[in-house]
Amino acid sequence: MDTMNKIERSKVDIGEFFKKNVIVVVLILLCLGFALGNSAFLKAANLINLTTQMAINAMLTIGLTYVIILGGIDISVGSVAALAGVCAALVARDFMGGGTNIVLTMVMQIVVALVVGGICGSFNGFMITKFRVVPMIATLATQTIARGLCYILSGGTSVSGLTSVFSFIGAARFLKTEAKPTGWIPIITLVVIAFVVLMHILLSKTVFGRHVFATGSNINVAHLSGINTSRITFLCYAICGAMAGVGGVLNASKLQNGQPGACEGYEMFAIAATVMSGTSLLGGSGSVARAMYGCAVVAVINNGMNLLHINSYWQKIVLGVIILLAVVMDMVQKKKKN
Amino acid sequence: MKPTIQAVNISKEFPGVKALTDVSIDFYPGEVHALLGENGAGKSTLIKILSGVYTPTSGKVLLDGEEIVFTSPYDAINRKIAVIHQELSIAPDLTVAENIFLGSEPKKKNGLLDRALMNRKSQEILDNMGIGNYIKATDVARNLTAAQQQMAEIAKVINREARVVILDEPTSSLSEYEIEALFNQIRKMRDAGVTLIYISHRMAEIFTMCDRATVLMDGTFVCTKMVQDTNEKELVASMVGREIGDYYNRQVHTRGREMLRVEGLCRDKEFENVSFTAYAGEILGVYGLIGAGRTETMETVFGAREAREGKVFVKGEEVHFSSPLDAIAKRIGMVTEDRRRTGLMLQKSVKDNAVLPSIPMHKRKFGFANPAWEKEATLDIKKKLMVKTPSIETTIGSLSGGNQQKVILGKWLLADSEILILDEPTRGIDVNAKSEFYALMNEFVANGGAIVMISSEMPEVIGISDRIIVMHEGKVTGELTGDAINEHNIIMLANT
Repeated sequence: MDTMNKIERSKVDIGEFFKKNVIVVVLILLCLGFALGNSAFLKAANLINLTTQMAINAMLTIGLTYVIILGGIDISVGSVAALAGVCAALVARDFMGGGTNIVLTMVMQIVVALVVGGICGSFNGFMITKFRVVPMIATLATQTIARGLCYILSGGTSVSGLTSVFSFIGAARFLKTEAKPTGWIPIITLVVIAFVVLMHILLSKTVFGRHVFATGSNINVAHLSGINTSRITFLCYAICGAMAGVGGVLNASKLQNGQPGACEGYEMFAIAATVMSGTSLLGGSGSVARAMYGCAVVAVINNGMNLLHINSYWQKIVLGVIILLAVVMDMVQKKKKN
Repeated sequence: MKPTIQAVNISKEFPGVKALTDVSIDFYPGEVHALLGENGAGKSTLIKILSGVYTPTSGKVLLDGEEIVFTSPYDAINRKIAVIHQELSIAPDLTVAENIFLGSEPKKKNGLLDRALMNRKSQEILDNMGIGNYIKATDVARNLTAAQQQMAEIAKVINREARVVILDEPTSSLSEYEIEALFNQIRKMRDAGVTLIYISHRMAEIFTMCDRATVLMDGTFVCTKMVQDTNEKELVASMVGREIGDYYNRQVHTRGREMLRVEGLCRDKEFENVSFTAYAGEILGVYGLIGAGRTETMETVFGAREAREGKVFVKGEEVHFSSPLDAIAKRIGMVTEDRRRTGLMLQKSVKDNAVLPSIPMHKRKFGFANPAWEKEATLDIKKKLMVKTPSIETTIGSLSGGNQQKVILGKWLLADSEILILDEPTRGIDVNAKSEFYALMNEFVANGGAIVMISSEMPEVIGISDRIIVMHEGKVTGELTGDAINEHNIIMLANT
């Protein structure tokens, strides 16, 4: 009888695990599928490449996780990222000789990323908390404004004339070996991991994080329980902007120039990654670490299909279908629960 | 006479729960049939089966002696079975006429909406109900009071010529005066031969309104009685399976120091010149009709609304609250009237809800939360308040109303509240849970706390309060203590 119960129990647990971790299962299946299609997929070099390919999206996803847990949305992250990238490139080109001192350049890049992104995010937060503008509209406005600024500041062309010092944070690698003279460990990956860890802890372990979840679960209850919900909302949008800024500067560094048209449509990838990982668009639940699974899925699909030589137009369609499936599965489970 | 609708040997099982076991009840035309039982007794499940929302696991529903199998709630509408829910399901941006005809809009020959016909017919129905002056067919639902919306729903049911009308706690958001208007409509429908099934936690209503009463307990049928042959005590005893002694657990408290004093509080269009004082060791009842401004006043005291004028003193010291945060810092807690909208994070766990206001008070270095404290504190509350929940990680939305309310009370105890403002604290919770909640209130004031309790339930206000203030149209019309606390005096003050 006891063993029966145990078997029953473990069955239930597997079911539960499966439901909670659909995204992990999908990720594993995708990897296996692509590995069968092209043996190069599972090679260490390709997997490391994958982490660099998902880096930009990961930064945008970190910020969006905060905003979506709040029950909001931010569709300006792509443009904000581009603006931060252009700004960092301009500063480097016009004031730092394209980047000469490695430490100074990196400090400048991070500061510009956080400041430019933070200002754009704060602007969103301000419109949403002060004037009660619907997040979709407020961030739509910012999306257009930021994109316009990109073209004005850059004069409509990409900001080039940058040195390899500028591209250090985005493109350089540690651990150079004979087999791999460019190095194994990408710095961009380490930077993103640092932000993921930091922002995951902020969300899951601190009082601020608790208040983000509470505000997203029920803003009335949160307010009546002594939470300054306007402040929390404002901060989440500011964080989202700042993370997008970092993503944009990493992108500019990786490409070694600041392109005004960079990161176009990236907000969709980031929203897809967040939602796929089980963060409800209704707010109140989610996790930065889990959102990374979503990022990985997006990156694996793109990378795997590249390896299989599927053209990029089809990639868009496949990605769209996968997003839909993820959300539908999420809804079906919620319905079952109720 | 033959029954209109019958439940025959109905059982309903959900995964892990047996909600109904072999329940058979006959409902006759021209009767108001009360369905009684505690929360979880199976009343809601039964009405959902009768109205086609759920399919029974076994047993059947007969309409005029013939078995009916519902495939969707529309079937119920087609078969003239209507439900008026506790939470109004009116579309707020449509007019009364549009609501009345929702789903059965009349069309002109060219296929467009026949608005004129719709308005004319709706107004006829409202006139026939005798409320044509009170509600117009062209009024937008949002601008109506809760009672008027309720009336519009009844007009909808009449328009559909419903033969079976199920009313689920229809009076929970109405004042005494509005309840009377509702009862008149119910009597009219009854006299027209409609079968009415009436669910309410308010015993007094059962005795004024119903002809027969069926009691359910733990999903099983207990008894059906003619209301005139029974009494409240007997019915309550069969609902809970035992006799309940002093329901309110009334205790004599000794008045302590002044805790909360409000002087001349005003807010435009809501209330004016409201003054009262609450003392430690005392339950202050606040009675009034809906729209008397009680909730608005208390939310202003709590800092959730901004006062135009007036002073608030906590323990003799003047305070200025610009948000609930400030009030909480002065050890005030507020249990709001709408648990689902402003009381709970329904998707979150018992623990997340219980510790919410006190998380910052127990933070560690660098703003880190303290999960060990959160767990311990919630377990403590669960034990002290006897919250029935499988675990503190259980989603709070899955608990019964009484247990949810205990968690909300617990959350303010964890925040070290000394003054509690309770707005309709026992609305929609069953007899047993009410009794337990009153005991907790008594304990709180016995330990030196002060309670200000808004309630629209006359027996409750009389039963538990040490002192009562009555409000009417935004003003305090009087204060009652000791022997002056009786139904007559309260009604006089509430209507002048």
